[in-house]
Amino acid sequence: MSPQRGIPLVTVDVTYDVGSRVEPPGKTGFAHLFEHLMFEGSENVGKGDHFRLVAEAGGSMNGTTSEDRTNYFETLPAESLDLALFLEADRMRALVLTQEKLDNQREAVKEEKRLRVDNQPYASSFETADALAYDAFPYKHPVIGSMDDLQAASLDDARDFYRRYYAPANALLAVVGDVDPADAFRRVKNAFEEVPPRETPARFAFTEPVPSGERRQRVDDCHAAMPALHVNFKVAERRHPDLFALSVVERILGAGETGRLWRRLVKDDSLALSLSVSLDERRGPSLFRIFSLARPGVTLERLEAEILGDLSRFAADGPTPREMERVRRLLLSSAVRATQTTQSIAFLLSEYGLYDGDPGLFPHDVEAVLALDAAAVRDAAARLLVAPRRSVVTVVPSGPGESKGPA
Amino acid sequence: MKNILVSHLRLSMLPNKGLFWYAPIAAFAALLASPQGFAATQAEPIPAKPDQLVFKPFAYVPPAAKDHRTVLKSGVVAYLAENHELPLVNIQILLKGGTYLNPPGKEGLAELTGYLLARGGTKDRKAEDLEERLAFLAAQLNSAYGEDRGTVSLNLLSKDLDEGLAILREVLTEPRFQDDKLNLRKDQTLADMKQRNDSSTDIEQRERSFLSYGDDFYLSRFETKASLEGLSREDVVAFHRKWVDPKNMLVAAAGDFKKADMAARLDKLFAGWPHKGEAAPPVPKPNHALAPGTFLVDKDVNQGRVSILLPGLLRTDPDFFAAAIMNDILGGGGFTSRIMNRVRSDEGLAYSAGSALQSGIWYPGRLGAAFQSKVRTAAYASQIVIEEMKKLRDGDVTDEELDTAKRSFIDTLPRRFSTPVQVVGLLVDEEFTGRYASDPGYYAKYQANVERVTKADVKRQAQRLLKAESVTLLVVGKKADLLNPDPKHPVKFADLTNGKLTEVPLRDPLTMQPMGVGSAK
Repeated sequence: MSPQRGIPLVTVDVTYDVGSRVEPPGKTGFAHLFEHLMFEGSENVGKGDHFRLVAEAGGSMNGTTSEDRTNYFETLPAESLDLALFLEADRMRALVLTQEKLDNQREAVKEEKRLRVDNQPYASSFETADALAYDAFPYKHPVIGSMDDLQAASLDDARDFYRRYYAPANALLAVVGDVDPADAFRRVKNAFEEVPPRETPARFAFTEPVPSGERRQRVDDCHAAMPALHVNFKVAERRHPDLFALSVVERILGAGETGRLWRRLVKDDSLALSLSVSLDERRGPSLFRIFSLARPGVTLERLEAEILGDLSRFAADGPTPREMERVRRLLLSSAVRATQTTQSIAFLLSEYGLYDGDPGLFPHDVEAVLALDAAAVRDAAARLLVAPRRSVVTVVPSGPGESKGPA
Repeated sequence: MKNILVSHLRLSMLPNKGLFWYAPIAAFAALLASPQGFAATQAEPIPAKPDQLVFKPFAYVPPAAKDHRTVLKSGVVAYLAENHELPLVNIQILLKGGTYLNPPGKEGLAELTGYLLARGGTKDRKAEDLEERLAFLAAQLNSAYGEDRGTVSLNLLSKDLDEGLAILREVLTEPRFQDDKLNLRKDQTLADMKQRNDSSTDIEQRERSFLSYGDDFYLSRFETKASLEGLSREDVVAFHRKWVDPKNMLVAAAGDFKKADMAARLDKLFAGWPHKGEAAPPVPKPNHALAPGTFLVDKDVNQGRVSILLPGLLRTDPDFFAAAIMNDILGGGGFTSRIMNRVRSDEGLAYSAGSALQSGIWYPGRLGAAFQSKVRTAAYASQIVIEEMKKLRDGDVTDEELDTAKRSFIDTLPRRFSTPVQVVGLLVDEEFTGRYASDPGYYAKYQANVERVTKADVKRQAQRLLKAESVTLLVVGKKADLLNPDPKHPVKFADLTNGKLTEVPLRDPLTMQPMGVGSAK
């Protein structure tokens, strides 16, 4: 619980320790499909009432599913705290699942997949890039799942999933906003003490083999007009010291139009149309990602060689003092901006609380990153952005109109 | 869960002691509360149903312009809000004028000028030096021209305000529009242009403009390869000199400053403007009626994107609140709306589905419903949406629907003003769009205007606007499948719109000219 005075709002967040990583082969997409079912009504909340009650209170709500967790949250006027607590406790205690709800939401999720992945240029290549980078199934398959697996999901699967993963002790509750802690804890107790304990699943764990060599794959994309390139490196889990160092590398190489790679490849030498660098931090092995669209006339081979050349140079020379100073300022300003809304604070508390057992680690991590020197950053780049950890996906336009090319 | 977090924060250990603004993060940690000591308190009984929860009566007084508005010496109107919680300052300059100012044949000029203002350097600083300095200050400077307005915004630490305003003055008065940045932007725009037909989303948005406002309206005058290639640095410089002038400017500033001090600094920002510009003309009005019928764009995707369009209203219409509530019940209210309930929750035909009543600031907007459904059920889902329009028009809304819609309008108002940046942003928008002049009490009367809407008002607006028999329906998807519906729901698009179906050819992405039916997918 984090009291934040000033704006008369409160965010309630319940994060469950279940994400797509727990899905076995044949059951992909289930964690996300289940998230949809959580909005379809519980013992004392009829179908559609969840949305109605939050809307009438002037609130907003949503849920999200990632590889590592599923969260549900409401932001409401602070005096409506009880409503959010009631809704969360009721669906944790007694969700109502029916075949009809499953069928409807299954179809809605398939439409979501058509919308977000199947008909969007480059979207499927991101799925390929994950499948190529990872060996173990948990991170190898996409959160949205496959059409076949979604089709095969049964009501028994849903009931079993709820029993297993939606146990109270598998969740973390965060309350952030304009509340008095004593009063708010009393209200939380009121709402949740009726939820009986259930057996909690064993802590999920999996291992990935040690990265052992470069991997490559080509994707033909019928929706894309421009060739593109993914260069990914499989690295350690979130909060590992290597990841702290890579978060600095990410901001020096990427971070918009002042980043080294963008400046040289997009602006100065006109080899790429766009380029982004991101660190995809996960509870298990994470990915350091580079994604770039090639400029017409520049081959993907050339673009890849140039990117790898720049990475080697960075690994040899490290960051300049000025780059280090810029990144420290950037880190601090983004840390301040990350704590500006009740919702973003709730997310930080929940993830640290659930993953690490200590919701307040965020400032500690900011400090750990700020304490790194240039040598540590260079060392991380030299050890981790290397061929054995690398996977490369080339995306080649294959649409019927593309071979001709626009006039 | 205790305050041990604080012990992690050793401020003296920080790499740079000058970074005093670490404090807010410390506050974040320090404010974590512990449940110890509360757990023993006796719990109160909870009601059986959430509707039985009782909340304090709602009382909210929205911010008033008079508390923030000031007229600077230059005549520029500024809205200022002090907020000392974080050591940040946010300044936004609103520019009258937009893409409608593009001369014919020079489409893309306002967009290019807007992009380059903050990114193309200044007389005394190369673009790279400017970027580097801003990055070093962790300041964010952005600029853009949109359809009806331009914006230049600066977000920075309050301790850097002097330097930030000096940079802002340079950017506004002496932009360099550096050649290599200009050429790079043109290249990138051309590359984006080539991707115009990649995603059905873009195709739908574009054709919606053509159908809604006709080919000649400024929203339908898209930039082309030819217009882009014809843009020179001289064009950009001329556009800047003509339109980036204090007489077209408004300011919204919020953050860690004293109002009087900020006003004095802004006086300095606008003093002695080195160019003589012109006042921007008003936004043009369209002269085009929606043509009823189905309009189909053949694109090889397995999900159809559907827009169903009807004439909307000017926001000054005396019945705008009733119409907005009607739309909320129809499809604007998200999960509580009829369209979402039937199309997604009952039938699983779409991931998102809903309707929107455009705000109609400068001319009557459109009332549009939209969703995406697999190609072979797109016609069936369209039928449901049109049915819901008819039901709302011919039937009655329930007390509960009306109450939900009203509560959601009233109770979300405070959230729109939930930060000082939003407060001055919304107030300056009132000034910019002219409503401050015509209806300065708009927000003060907002709650009463919503409360006053009756079921009969909603019905009247439904009858006035939901001409479900003469909708303009746009669908983008694989034609063969769109016209070959799922046998379980054999609905034909043409039947939904009085038999008329027109195939709209894809447009050449570089010229925006129709490519001829069937020549490309």
